[in-house]
Amino acid sequence: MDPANSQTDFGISLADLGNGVWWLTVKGEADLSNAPELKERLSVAIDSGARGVLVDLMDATFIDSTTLGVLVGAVKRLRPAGGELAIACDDPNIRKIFEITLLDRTFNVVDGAEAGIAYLSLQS
Amino acid sequence: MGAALLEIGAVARELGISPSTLRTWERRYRIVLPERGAHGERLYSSDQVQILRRVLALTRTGLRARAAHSAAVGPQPLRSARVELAASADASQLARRAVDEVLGQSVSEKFAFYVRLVATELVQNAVLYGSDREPIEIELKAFSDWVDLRVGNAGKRLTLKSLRSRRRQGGRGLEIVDALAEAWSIDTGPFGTQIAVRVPKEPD
Repeated sequence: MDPANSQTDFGISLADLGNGVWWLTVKGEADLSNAPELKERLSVAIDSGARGVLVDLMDATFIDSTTLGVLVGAVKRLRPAGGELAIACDDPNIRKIFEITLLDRTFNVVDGAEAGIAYLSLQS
Repeated sequence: MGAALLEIGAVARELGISPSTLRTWERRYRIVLPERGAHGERLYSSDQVQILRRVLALTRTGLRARAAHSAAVGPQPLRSARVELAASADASQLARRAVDEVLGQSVSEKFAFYVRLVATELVQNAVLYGSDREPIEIELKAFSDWVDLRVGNAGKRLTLKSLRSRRRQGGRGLEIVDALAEAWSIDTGPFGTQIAVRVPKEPD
């Protein structure tokens, strides 16, 4: 891999923080090509009984409408069981996408992972 | 758009020049690229005839055809690129790299991000709803205050109505493009669909 492209290399990691709170971090550019992987990892958390999922976009450099669709799908699965999904993101460009689509009203979008985990821990 | 198209003979008669001059202008200087009909015949829109009329008037003042064309069509892009991508899931990522290439370091990160986002949504649309056997064509033109993007794909015809109904089904791509771009146009013809948008440097 070309090191100049390292900020665009996509990666997901998933951690169970206990108390039903899961922490999913997305690195690089999320789009149509990796949406199935994102969906699958979110399902792992939800199927394991997650009550709160933090989608950490602090190291994400790009998301698109397909990514949003996956996140909305996850929230639809979480909500009936009283679950929550929060987004950690401090990139103004990515935050703007949530604002344009009014999804900043659907998700709690916070400035950092700590704030997101604290919020979800209170909810669950 | 949607108005009657004129064949080359009719255009030549209207302008008082020969069809071969029109063909030469097209080949040498890319002055007006007409659509092609079912049998490959050139079909000119009324906008194109207008441009040709201005070019002709300017050449009669002594300008050479190429300069007359620049003067007639307005600002020329600072940089431009045309790329063809296979209609696969990584097409939108390749489209973003083409955007980076054209914009370089000359614009703010915010503007570059918006152009990448609009390109991604348009290309993704072409991947999802166009033919997967034909490549997707992207044309990028960077001007000082905006970027023009044109994404074309062969396959099923797209209409604004069908795009909007997809939005109701959950697609948010159009909403994003709507918010960041102006001067939408969708052209569908026998060879597929072309979507053209302009992304201004300071969106409303």
